Amino acid sequence: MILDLIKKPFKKIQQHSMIYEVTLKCNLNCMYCYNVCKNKEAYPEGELDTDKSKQLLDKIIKETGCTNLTFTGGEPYLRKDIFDLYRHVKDKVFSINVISNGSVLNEDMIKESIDCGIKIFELPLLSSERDIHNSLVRGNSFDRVTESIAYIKSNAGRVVTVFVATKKNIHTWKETIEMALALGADGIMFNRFNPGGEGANHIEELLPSPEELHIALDIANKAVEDYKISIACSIAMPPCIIKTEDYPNLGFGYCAAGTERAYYTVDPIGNLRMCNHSHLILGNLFEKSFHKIARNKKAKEFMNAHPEFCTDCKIVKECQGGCKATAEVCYQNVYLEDPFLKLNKDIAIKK
Amino acid sequence: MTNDKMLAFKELTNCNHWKNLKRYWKELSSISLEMNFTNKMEMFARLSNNSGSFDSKINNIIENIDKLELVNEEALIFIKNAILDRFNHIQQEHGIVTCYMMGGIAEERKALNELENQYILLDKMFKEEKINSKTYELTKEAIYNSFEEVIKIKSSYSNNQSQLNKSFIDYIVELNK
Repeated sequence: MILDLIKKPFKKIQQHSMIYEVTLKCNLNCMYCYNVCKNKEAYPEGELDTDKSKQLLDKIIKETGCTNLTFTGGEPYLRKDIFDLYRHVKDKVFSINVISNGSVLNEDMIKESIDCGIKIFELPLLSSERDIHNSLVRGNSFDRVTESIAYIKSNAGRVVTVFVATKKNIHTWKETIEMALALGADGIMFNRFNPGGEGANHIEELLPSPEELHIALDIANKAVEDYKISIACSIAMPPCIIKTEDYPNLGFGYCAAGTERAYYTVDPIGNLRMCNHSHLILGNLFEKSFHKIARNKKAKEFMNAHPEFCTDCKIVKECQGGCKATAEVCYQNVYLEDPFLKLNKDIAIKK
Repeated sequence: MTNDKMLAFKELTNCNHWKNLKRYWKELSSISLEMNFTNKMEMFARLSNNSGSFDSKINNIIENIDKLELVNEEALIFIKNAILDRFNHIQQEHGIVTCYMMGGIAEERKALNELENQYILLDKMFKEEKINSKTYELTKEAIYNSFEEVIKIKSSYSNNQSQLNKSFIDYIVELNK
């Protein structure tokens, strides 16, 4: 016991998954985008060349021990060397996934990605209605996305569709599930709109109400039973506002900052952040090891923070009071409630 | 805990490390049913020691759960749910063909029914002009390929074609004329 306590501070941190933002450039300007480069506060720009990016990838894998590596952006397929980077890590991790907006993919790119070891493509399917999807991405990507999904499936790849639930599209959720199934999606993510980046400019316009979310979750819960598909809700929905126990068929995620299942995110130049929603730079992997950065003062403060409102709640440690990264981005204070909790705390029933 | 029970638990967790085993036991006892899906998966990944061999041990593990009389009711339900979660995860990981192979005829029927349902939805989406013809044709091809794969594996270990969903075979044949 005593030996364990002595050993604990020296124990290496091992992560299951890491996220690598290979570029911050994007060809779209989605209303709901939480990307750090869209924040009001400036974020460091730039990209590494291919060799340096490979060095960074090696560091990420070696120092974190991650088995899953997710490439994201910006739009990762805007990088010309993306396949070279996939190939570089192909045999070094168990699975490589990619989060893309799907608008620049074609059949050759999809085939090559699968050859390079991409196990899951995560693409947005924001509505079964072309116009609604396109209005949210402020572009004409709907047909490209659905074609991309079809190409992935016809090349025996796996795809998870992502529905960002906003006021503008939530009424088409049921039909969007059906469309995802029709296209052969292997899983569906239901992410409530989480303001940040460009999304922080559209909170009132996009943030769904608890009532709207309850209706959508009822639909999702039933769809899992009817269609035997997996639906995960990875953006935190505090149980004091959304009764998650009413939806036993759905997977709910809470902030995992600092745990083995956290989604530490590395930006294009090697800066480490707590997750892809957070804009707080903890340190740079070319300057210090992951082990040191992930336990520094900034990281610990983020991990231990929760809104004052939640202090007397019995499940605060598990729930963490919603999305701290969003509170940090929208209000520059990790101890404040995120917008969803802030706007709805008058109806909260604490545990 | 008696030796028998500890052995059962050891088998359940597929873990040989005594210290870890005790830690898992402690964690299991304090688990709340409200634990979220990701946490469950995390816990179960640790329980199964990330061995990757879990899929072949599902039946053994389920049998062994009943030997764990010391597990409180909540923990027992948690373990069963975690196994089902893990099973679902495996199904997603390996796709319908693997789940067909694992489950035999029942899963084959499920796989075929799923393909049939997918086709019906796809057809509806196309007729309502929600997807374009390229997406429609490509997805039809993907459905057909999955169907072929199921049939191929089916034929490789059983000649009992009567078990197959005939209407769906006709459906697909018609589709590809």
